Amino acid sequence: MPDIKLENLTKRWGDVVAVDNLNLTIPDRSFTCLLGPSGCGKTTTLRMIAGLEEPTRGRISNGDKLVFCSERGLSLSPDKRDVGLIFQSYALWPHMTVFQNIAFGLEMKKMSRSEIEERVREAAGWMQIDEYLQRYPSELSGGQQQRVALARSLAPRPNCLLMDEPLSNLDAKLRMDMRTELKRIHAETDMTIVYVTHDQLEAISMATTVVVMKEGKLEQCDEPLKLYKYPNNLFVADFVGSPSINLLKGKVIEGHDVWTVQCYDWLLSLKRAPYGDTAVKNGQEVVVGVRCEDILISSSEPPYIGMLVYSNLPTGSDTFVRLRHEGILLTAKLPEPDIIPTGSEINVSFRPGRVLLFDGETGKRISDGTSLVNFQIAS
Amino acid sequence: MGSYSAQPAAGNKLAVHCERGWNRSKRILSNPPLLLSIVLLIISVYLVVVPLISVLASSVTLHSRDTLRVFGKRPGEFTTYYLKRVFASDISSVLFYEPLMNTLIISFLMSVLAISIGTTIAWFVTRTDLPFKRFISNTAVVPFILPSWTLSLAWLTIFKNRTIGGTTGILEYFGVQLPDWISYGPLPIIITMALHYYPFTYMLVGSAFRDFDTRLEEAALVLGGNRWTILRRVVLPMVSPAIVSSFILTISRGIGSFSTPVFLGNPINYRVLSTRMFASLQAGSPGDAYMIAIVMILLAATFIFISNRVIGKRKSFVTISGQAPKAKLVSLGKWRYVASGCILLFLFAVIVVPLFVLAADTFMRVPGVYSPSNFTLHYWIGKSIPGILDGRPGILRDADTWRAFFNSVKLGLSASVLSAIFGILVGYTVVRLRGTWLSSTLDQVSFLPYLIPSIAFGAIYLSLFAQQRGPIPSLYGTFMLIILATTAKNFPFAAKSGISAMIQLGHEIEEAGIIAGASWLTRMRRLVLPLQRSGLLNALILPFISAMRELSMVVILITPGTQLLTTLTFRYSDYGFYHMSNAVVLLLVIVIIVMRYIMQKITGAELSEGLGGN
Repeated sequence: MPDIKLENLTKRWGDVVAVDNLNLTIPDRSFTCLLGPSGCGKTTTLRMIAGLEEPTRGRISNGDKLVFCSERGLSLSPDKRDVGLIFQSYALWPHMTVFQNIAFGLEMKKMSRSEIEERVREAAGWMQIDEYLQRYPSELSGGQQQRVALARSLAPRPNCLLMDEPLSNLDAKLRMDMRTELKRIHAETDMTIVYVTHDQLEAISMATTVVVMKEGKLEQCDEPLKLYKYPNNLFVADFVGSPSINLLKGKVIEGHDVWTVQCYDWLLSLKRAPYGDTAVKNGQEVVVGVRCEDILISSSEPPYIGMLVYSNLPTGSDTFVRLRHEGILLTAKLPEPDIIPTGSEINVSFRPGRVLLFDGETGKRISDGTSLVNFQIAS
Repeated sequence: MGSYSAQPAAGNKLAVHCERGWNRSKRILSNPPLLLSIVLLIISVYLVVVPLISVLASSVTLHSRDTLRVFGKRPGEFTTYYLKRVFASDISSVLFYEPLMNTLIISFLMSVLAISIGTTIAWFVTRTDLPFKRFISNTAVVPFILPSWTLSLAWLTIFKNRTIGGTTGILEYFGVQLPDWISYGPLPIIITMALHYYPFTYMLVGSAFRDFDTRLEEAALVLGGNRWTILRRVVLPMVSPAIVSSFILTISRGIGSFSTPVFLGNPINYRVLSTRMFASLQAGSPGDAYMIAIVMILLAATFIFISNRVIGKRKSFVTISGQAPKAKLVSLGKWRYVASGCILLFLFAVIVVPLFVLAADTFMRVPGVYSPSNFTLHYWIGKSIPGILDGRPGILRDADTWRAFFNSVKLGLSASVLSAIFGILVGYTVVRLRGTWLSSTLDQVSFLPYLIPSIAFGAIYLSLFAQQRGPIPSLYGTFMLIILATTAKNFPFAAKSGISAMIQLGHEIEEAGIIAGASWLTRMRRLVLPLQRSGLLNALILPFISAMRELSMVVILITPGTQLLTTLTFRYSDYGFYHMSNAVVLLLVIVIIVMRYIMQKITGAELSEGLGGN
C-alpha cells in the first residue's frame, strides 16, 4: 500500500508560516483534493510533495520510500519521486510541438525512439489529441492545451499525479467536461491523484478524500459527503456547501436532559447528542448550523415557528428563499422551484437528525446530527 | 540513487547530525542556480562594488606626487588633504564650487527646456489628430540615439567665433560678429543638451499620455468642462508625476554629462564637475578628481532616488482603471497642419540641419564658401598633404580611423554579448532564488552602475585598475579594461531586461522540466534559453549602440593604442581638426542609424526605452 505520508510537515518563509505542522496520509489510489481558500498552503503542500519546494521541517514518504526528511537532510529530486504534475498554467513548452512536449519526459528517461513514439501515441489517444501532435501549443484552444498537459504527465506513467488548480483557466462548460475526463482517468488507471482547488464544488464532486486546509493547518480530512454532512468545525461548515450553511449564534440556557439554546427570542430545544470532548454547559456560547436543504418550509407538525419571507432567489432548477425573524436571516431551499410572495408568513422547521451544534469559542463541532424537540418564542 | 528506508535512522544523535550535514551540503553543491548566483555575485561585486570602494579609498589616501605637500605622511596613508583641498581651501571655488554651481544651473535649465519640448511634442502626438503622426513619432527620438556631442559640433560649425582661433563658424565667415556667450558657455550647452535629452521626456510622458484613461476626460466633458480646462485641470495633473520624474532623471543625466560641456565650455574655461574632474585627472591630481567623482555620484544617485519615489506614486494614478478605451483625440481643426508644420520644422532644424552642416563642412576646403571650386573630398579620401591637418590623409584612407572603427565595433560586440549573457543569467538566478538575500543583493548590486555618471564610472575604473592589485595585473591601456567598464556600465539595463524576461517566462515552464527529470543544463539548453531568443536580440543591439556612441566613460580609459571612433572625434576636435572630427561623427551616425534600422526590422520593436548613457 504505497500511501503518501506527510509527517510534521512545515514550510516557513521568514516569519510567514505557509504550512504548519501538517500530518496527513493520502491513501493509495485515492482521488484526494486539497481544498481551502487562497493562501491556505495547499499549493505549497503539493509542491513539497512534488519536490519543487523544500519543507522547513518534517518528513514525506511515498509508500516505504522516504523522499524527504529534514532530520536527515534528505531530499529526493522530483524526477526520482515518481510523480507527474499538472500546472495551473499548463506550462506547455511553446517552442515544441505537442509531440515533442509529450516525448520530452520519455527522452529524459532514455527510452528508445520507437518506445517513445509508442508511448506518445498511447497518451495522445487517451486524451483524444492524436490529430494535434504536430501542432504548437499556441495553435490549440485552452481545453486542448489542458489535454496535452495531461498527456504529457501521463506518458511516463507516474504512480501519483499531482494537479494544481488545473481547471481554473477553463470556462464553465469545458470545466464540466474535464471533470468527467479526470474521473475517467482515475477510474481507468491505478494512479493516486492529488488535486489542489479552492472550489469546494469541484472537490466534493470529484474527490474520494477531501482535505480542508486553513492558514497552513489541516482542518478536516474526510470523504466528501461526510465532510458536507458532519464538518468538524465552523470553518469547514462554512467553506463547504453553496449556498453556505445557516449559522445561528446563541447561548445554552439548559444543558441537561435536552439542550436548549436561546437565539434572539427563539428557544431551540435539541435532543442531546454529544460529539467530541467538549461537554455542553449552561451559559456556553454556541452556534447552531443547518444546511439550507434541511430547513423545512410550511411544516404542519410541530415543532415549528413562523418566519417572514424576505426575498426569493430562483436559479431555475432550485429556488432559495431568504427568511427573516428579528435579526435572524435564514436561507432555505424550496422542495419545488417555486416562488413565495415576499412578506408572507410561513412555518419553518429543521430536518430531524440534521441540526449541528458548534462551540462558540473554539468553533469545534460538539454535537452529532440532532433533532429539534421544541421550537418556541421566549416568553 | 537507492531508496531510503522510511524508518528513522537508528543510533546516536551525532550520526544523525553527520548524515544531515552530508546530505545537505551535497544538495547545495548540486544546486546550479545557487552556485551560479554566487559566481555572478562575485563578478558583479568585483566589477562594481570593489571599484566603488576603491574610489572612496583613493580620495582619502595620499598619492605619491603629493607627498611633498603633506608633511610627515607617506604615499598610501590616510589623509584628509584632498577633502580639504576640494571643499575648503583657496582653490576650492575654482576646483569645486564654481563647477558645481555651473553643473546645477545647466542641468536645471536644460531639463526645463527639454521637458517643455518633450511634453509638447508628446501631447500633440498622442492626444491630437496631428497629421504625419507616425513619421513625427519615429523621428522625434532620433536626437537621443545620436552621439550627444553631434549637436555641439554642429553648433561650433555654425556659431564658432574667433576667440579661440582656428577656422571660424559659418556665421562669422559671412561677417556676423558673434559674442562669446553665443558661441560658447552655458547658453549653447543648455540648448544643445536640451535638444539631445528632450526625446527622453517625450518617451516617458508620451507613454503616460497614452495609458491615460480617456473616461476621466469624458467625465469632465460631460460635466461641462471645455477642452483647455480639461487639459489644465484633469490631463496635466494626471501625467504630472511622469513629467516630474523625467525632469529629475534628466537633471541627473545632466550632472554626469561630459561631451557637450567639453566641446562648448572648455574653449572659454567654463567648467562643470565632469570637465573639472577630467582636467584634474589630466593634470595629474587623481585625489581631487576622485573627490569630485564621489560628489557627482551622490548627486546623481539622490536625484534618481527621488525620481523612483515619484514613479512609485505615479503607479497609483494609472492603475485606477483596467482597460482604457481607445483614446478620443483632441481635434485641432484648421490648426492641425500648422502644428504639424511647426513640429516638422523643429525636427528639421535639430536633426537635418546639424547633420547637413557637419556633412557640408567635411566637403569644403574653406568653410562657408559655396562654390564648386571649394568642393573637396580631401577630408574623406584625400592623400596626405604636408601642412594640412598635420599631413593627415582623409579619414577613409587613414589607418587610425579604421583601427578606431574596428575597435568600436569590437567594443560594441564584446560588451553587448557579455552584458547580454550576464543579464540573462542574472535574470534567471534573481527570479529563481527570489526571496533569498542572494537574489536581492544581486539585483541591487547590478543596479548600482545606474547611479553612477559615466565619467565617474570611468574614473572609478581608472583608480582601481591603474596599478597591479593582488593577482590582477594593471589593466590600464588594455582594451580589456574598456570592455570591462562598458560591460559593467550596461549591467543595470542587462539585468533589468533579463529579470523581466524571466518573470514573463514564469517558473512553471522550467519546473515542468524538473518534473520530467531534465538536468539543469538540459533545462537551460532546451527549455529556458530557446524562449529568450527575441529578448536576447534586444539585449544585444541596444547595448551595442550605446557602446558605439559612448564617450564620457571611455575618454578617461583610452590610450593611443585603444582609440575608438568616439574618442577619435574628441581628439581631432581637441586639435582643432574640425573637418576630421565632423567626418568621424558622420561615420558613427551612419553606423548607429544602420544598427537601429536592423534592430527595428528584426524585433519589430520601436525604440522606446533602455537607451542609457549620457
